Amino acid sequence: MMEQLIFGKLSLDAIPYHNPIIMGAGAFMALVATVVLGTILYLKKVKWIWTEWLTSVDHKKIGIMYLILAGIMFLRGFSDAVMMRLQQAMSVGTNMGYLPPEHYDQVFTAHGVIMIFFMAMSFVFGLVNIIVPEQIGARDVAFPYLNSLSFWLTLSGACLVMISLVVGDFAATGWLAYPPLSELKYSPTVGVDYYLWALTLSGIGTLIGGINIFVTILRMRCPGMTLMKMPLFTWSVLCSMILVIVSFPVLNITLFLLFLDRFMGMHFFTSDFGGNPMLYISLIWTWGHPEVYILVLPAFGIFSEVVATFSKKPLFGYTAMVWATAAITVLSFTVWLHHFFTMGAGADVNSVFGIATMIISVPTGVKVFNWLATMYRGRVTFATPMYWMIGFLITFTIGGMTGVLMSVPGVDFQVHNSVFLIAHFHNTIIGGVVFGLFAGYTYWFPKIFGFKLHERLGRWAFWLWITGFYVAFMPLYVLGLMGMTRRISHYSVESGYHPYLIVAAIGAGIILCGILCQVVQLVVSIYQRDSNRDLTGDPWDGRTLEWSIASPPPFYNFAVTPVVQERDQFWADKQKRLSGAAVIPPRYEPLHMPKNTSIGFLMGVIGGVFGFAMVWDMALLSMVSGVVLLGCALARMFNAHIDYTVSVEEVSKTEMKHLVGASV
Amino acid sequence: MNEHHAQEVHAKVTFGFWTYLMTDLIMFATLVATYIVLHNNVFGGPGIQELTNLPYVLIQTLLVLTGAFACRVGLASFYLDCRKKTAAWLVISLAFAVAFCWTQYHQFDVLLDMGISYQNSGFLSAFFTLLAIFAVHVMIAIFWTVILLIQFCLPRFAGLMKTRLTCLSLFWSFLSIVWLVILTVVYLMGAL
Repeated sequence: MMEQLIFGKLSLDAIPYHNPIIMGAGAFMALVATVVLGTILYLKKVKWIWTEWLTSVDHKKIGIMYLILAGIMFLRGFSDAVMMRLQQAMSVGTNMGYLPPEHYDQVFTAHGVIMIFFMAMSFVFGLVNIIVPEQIGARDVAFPYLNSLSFWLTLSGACLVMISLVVGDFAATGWLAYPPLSELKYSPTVGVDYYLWALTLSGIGTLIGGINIFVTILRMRCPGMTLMKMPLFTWSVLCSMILVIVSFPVLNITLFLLFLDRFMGMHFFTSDFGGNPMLYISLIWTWGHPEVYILVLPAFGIFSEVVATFSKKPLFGYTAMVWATAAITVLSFTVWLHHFFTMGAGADVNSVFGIATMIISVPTGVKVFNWLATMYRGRVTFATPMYWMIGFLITFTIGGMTGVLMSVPGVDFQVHNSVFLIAHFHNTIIGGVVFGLFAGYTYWFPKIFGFKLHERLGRWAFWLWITGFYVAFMPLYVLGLMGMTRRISHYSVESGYHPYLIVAAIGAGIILCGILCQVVQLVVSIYQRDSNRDLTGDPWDGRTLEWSIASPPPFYNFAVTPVVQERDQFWADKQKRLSGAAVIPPRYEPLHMPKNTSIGFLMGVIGGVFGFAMVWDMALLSMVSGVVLLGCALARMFNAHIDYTVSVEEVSKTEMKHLVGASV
Repeated sequence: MNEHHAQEVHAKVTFGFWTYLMTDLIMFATLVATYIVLHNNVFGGPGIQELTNLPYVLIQTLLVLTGAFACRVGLASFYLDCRKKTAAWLVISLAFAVAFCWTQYHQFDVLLDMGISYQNSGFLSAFFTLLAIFAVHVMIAIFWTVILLIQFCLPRFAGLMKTRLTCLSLFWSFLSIVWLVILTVVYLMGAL
């Protein structure tokens, strides 16, 4: 009885000792964790980690932590991808491959969940966190403590996914956990529970983060920056955050209803007792379709910044870009049914959603032409971000076209759930989101860390990535048309899939080389950082406000709040300075800055413990952690002094350091 | 400078809280939509017509609306600098909130005693969940009001009370709007 209260369903049998792949991965994770912890202890940096990072509410540091999380989860998600490619390249005819089906199912589920929720979302939120306040001339986000809470909740969600690898299992349902398969009757293990709690924690974190950035953009722009003078990255983030605000509540409550089905024996999505599985699929895509735009809009914004900077021209058609972004925001909520045309809603309904889907390609096309027109007659510099930009334009356009093909319901009936679809969405997500994030990473890296990334290795990474991408995914289009369904772990020789899947596996190998290049690039750049330092704060001859401050920026970003009259204010300032206009020496004022707090970190950690306890039905632990969680929130409410003042002397001292550095 | 800073924080927090309420509204919209989809799936059990007791629902409605009204009057008295009246109206709002939660508990208790459980059918799952999540929101209002009453007596929170009371009052208005939707969609459309 007591054991039941404490341990719930958890026992030593939950650890899959007999599986060498899982145990190897677990041992590797343990090794990395030990090395990191050991290094921190050896260098006596525990206090530094605590005061400067774990309890920090500085948007730049939280952003960096998001980026690190995204990097780690990217490697994990990519390992899953390689495992799938190997399995499919091997398991033909009498060869069953090296993964049993129940393990293979977990691998593809984990791949989707990790790549969307913990790689792409963390990457987007990392860049947004760091860059948006700097672009609008703000000192921090609107709610710095909530920002740290968002990050730590996302991290604890990611930790649950990682733990599920070693303790118990993960969902084997596909990344959206469609019922009735995900109901208790058909998925009796804890896999789906891990899925639900990991996504609930990170979903709450994302929702809070979305509100935070939304309020930051609407309330904290510097004087003179009207909406139509905002940099385009900030515009696209604003639209993306509106999508977060509207769609994430739907995700959170839908997952909660599935949890009620599993935990309380309710019948929302069961196939008997009057439940309705199609309701889940409709609800989850009400979130899921906007989600792809939540990811891709910031990527569009990054490309808009990159293309203007490296063409030395203002962005072509700014107003059209803003309206196109806004149109995509609205339209993204009108197309979710195209994910289940085969439900059988009838010709009328399917036509409406098919046409709505085609219409989305219009504003997207407007954007593509605007980017091209920006480059036209510009003085284009081919730095690495520009390579990603051009790679994106071509790849994303192909992905968009296959999307328009599938928006015809009749065609969709043929290729639904085939690997044609897999090829399509990787074409848009890798070609659009991932390339965009890599462009942003290379472009803003000197702003974030104060030194540039190695150029040549960056180009190598780009060429390997884009080649690998085409080699890996073009065969999937053919396979899809040949009738290969998604998520299969074994097929017959007669199917004729085998040669194409071998090519796809080679493509994954080429992408792996690209990723290795990126890892080496990071290491080499850190090693050679002194020769690549950015002392001016403006390494690319940028146009927007983030380049007007030091790299890395001081913790308060702007010593004096900037005043804006133009869209590319910093560029205009530089032109004025070149024409010999007098520079007025700044007058500093004391600044209000938020104090560090440990509550966000604690709530994230305890939230993770609570999730773990709920997964395993540990009654005692879940109650205790629930109470502690409420206690943390109470402690925050009873803390009246959450900010402090930075003196003029400290501001001018910090600013002098930058000015001296820039003049060397 | 300091006055200006406080004003800015007030505007930022109330706007942020309002945005949060919009997300909560979407969550309730999803629950109501779920209810509408499932409300005929009674699986041979009782439907909404058998469960509705309109006079009881009228009492619940009055409790929610009066609670929201009392909180709003409390905020108005705060703006007029009547500290005692503010506290008194908050206590009244608290009493109505507690009374509402009791009525909701009582309703569930009676239904479960009759063997009408959330496990019986898709309709009952949706019905119980929608009402329970609403009741949880009212419970949050209760805890929040208690905390604000405590902080009201502590001088170090004097500068924060305006923002916090405004948010609480917004929350109550939000609750009354959601309840009116539940009243219309679940009870009136179901019973009539």
